[in-house]
Amino acid sequence: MLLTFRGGVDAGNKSEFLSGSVINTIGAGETLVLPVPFGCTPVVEAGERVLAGQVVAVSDNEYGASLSSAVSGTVVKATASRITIENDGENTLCDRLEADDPITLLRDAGVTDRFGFSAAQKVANAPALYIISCVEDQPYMVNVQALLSCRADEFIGGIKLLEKISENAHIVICTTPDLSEYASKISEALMEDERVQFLTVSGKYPQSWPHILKRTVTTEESCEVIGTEELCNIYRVFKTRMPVTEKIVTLSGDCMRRAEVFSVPYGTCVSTLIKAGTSFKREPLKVVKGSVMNGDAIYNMRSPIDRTVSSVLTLFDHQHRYAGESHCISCGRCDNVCPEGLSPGSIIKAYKLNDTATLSRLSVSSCTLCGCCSFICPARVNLPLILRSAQLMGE
Amino acid sequence: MKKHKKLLLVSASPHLKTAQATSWIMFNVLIALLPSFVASCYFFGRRALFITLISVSFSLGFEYLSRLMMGKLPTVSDLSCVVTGVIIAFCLPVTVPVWLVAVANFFAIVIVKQCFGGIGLNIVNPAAAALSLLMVSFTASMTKFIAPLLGFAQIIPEDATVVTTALSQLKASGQTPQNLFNIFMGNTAGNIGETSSFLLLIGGVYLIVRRISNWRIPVSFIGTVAIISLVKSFDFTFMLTQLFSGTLFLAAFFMAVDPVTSPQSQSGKVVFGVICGVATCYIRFFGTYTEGAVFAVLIANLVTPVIDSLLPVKYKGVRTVEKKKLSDFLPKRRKAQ
Repeated sequence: MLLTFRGGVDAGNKSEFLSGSVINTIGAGETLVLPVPFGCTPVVEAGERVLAGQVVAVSDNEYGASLSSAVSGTVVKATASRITIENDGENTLCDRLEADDPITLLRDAGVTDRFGFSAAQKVANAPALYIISCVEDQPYMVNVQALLSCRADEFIGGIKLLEKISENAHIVICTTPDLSEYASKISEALMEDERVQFLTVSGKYPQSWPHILKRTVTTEESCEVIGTEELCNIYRVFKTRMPVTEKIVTLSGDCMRRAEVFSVPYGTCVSTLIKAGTSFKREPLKVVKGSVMNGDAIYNMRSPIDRTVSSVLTLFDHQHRYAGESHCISCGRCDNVCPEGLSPGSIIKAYKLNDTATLSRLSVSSCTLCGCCSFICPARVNLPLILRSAQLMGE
Repeated sequence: MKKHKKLLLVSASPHLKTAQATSWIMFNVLIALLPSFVASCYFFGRRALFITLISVSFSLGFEYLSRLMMGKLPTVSDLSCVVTGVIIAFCLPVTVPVWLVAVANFFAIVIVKQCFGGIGLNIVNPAAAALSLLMVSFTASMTKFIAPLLGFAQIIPEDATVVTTALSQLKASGQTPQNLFNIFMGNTAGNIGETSSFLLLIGGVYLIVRRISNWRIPVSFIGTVAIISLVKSFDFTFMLTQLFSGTLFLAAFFMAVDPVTSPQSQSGKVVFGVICGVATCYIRFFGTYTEGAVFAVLIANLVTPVIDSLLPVKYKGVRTVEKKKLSDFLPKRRKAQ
């Protein structure tokens, strides 16, 4: 049975991770630029020597996680926003993590989901239910497919580990219909396990967002959503006792013949990743760091990849261009697709009239800027941009 | 060495947009109007085709030229002016002079639409406004109906007599038509594209099924006309004649549903439809004109801002289709061994 939520869009155009493909590894470049995650503070200074795996920034609160260097080398520059490390090429590893307590271990290792939230905190919350998100809801992205086909053993190991850490928790693995092939392999391996259940959820965007997935699956308050890559990383950390310093990134888009998946050290720049791609068919007009629906179009190819970047897309098609915007024709399609039940069309009208009372009545602060309204808009109005301004006006 | 650096395109997310743009919506409206268009060519011969095509060319030309003169980007490609042109042609009698078609399209596109800022900013439906202008100013030309010619190659004979429509017969003498089926199918005197209620109904249902237009406006509009007609006469033939004759179906399915000029909220749409229906009946039963649907749409368009402020769109809140409680995930004995 397919579980779903109200609203959302079927963005279609899904790429496929060809069977037999592997997750390629990219070596770290000469210089790594690590953007300091929001809420973190650097703990290294310029001129200092760091080892591979050494913590370079720690989180100020329990929701964030610390950041580790992927290589050994010298810190060239350390500001509040980014740390530049020159690679010495020796790849000298730091000491293994010693912590016995799983929560401390995960926190030291810097395991996060793709939004930058710490896995340690999720485990520390001791939820009654873990929702494992194996959901692929956006065009071009194949991270989950790649992980489930290449790292299925780590995935299964991660599930078993979670069961061991949280003794009373139940685990539900959510997959989309187009991932059923991979899901069946995993369900065979977990056949005997009574605490694990499988559910099929819709592949509509934004199904993979944690709050949407929670809302779709359960009424239970005490539950935590763990991503596929996060789960594999939890297993790796327990096995190798080394911090997470790599990110699984899909390189795809309509300038490529097929999607390629890479394991990229944190801090690698986009151009290095693009150079590693092998199936280009034309020069991209636009490069997007992140997903199609809410990634950033970058103007600088030296922009670094951090732990929140799941894909790098090279786009050409005229559809991606920001053109042909007309005035809102009040068709009401945005109201139908808003997963939060908002009415973006009315919000924009109120925003243009500076009507803050109406804005709060329309609950503009609930907007998550998912971009469904903008995707569906026949007049090509760029709604998230205006909605964000409306949120700021309402505050 | 000077290195050429290629610049990348930057824009706000999302970087993918649906293919269902405004032009896609308008194209579907044109598809919905296609059956009536083919039928009109059969009922009124070559001149029906000519008037429709000339009306579309005028609307395209005026749209292009007015945008050009205002120094704005052309919007011809969104096809909304083509829809306006077709609807205008459908509401004209086949004997209409060509200059009147030009006047109608000029008023609709230039005055009503572009002077207010183009698509999305017009306060009334361009076609409804232009047709109202013509009905008020050129009543004689607008009521010169002929009997159906029945044939795609037919031309209007020299000695074609002017006949009355079923609706005006009903109004003048209270005499209901003999063959209601003919009126439903479109084999009756009337404007070019409005005679066949059956085919307009098919087009309207197509739009509703494709979720391009909302069912609330046409249903409440036609429903109100049906109820008021029935209450007035207690006669089913009278009521059905009121429904199938005249511009009612074209106005309900293609003019009133125009999202730009109709209310946003679902309850507002129902009220809008009822206002359209009441105004239509008022004009038909108590006014000088035999047909009031187009005037009614115009009146309701002007009331739309009031409806929007009285029945605004509300924050719907979050609701999911189905959810599971924690107990659903509790261990169960699997059936397989």
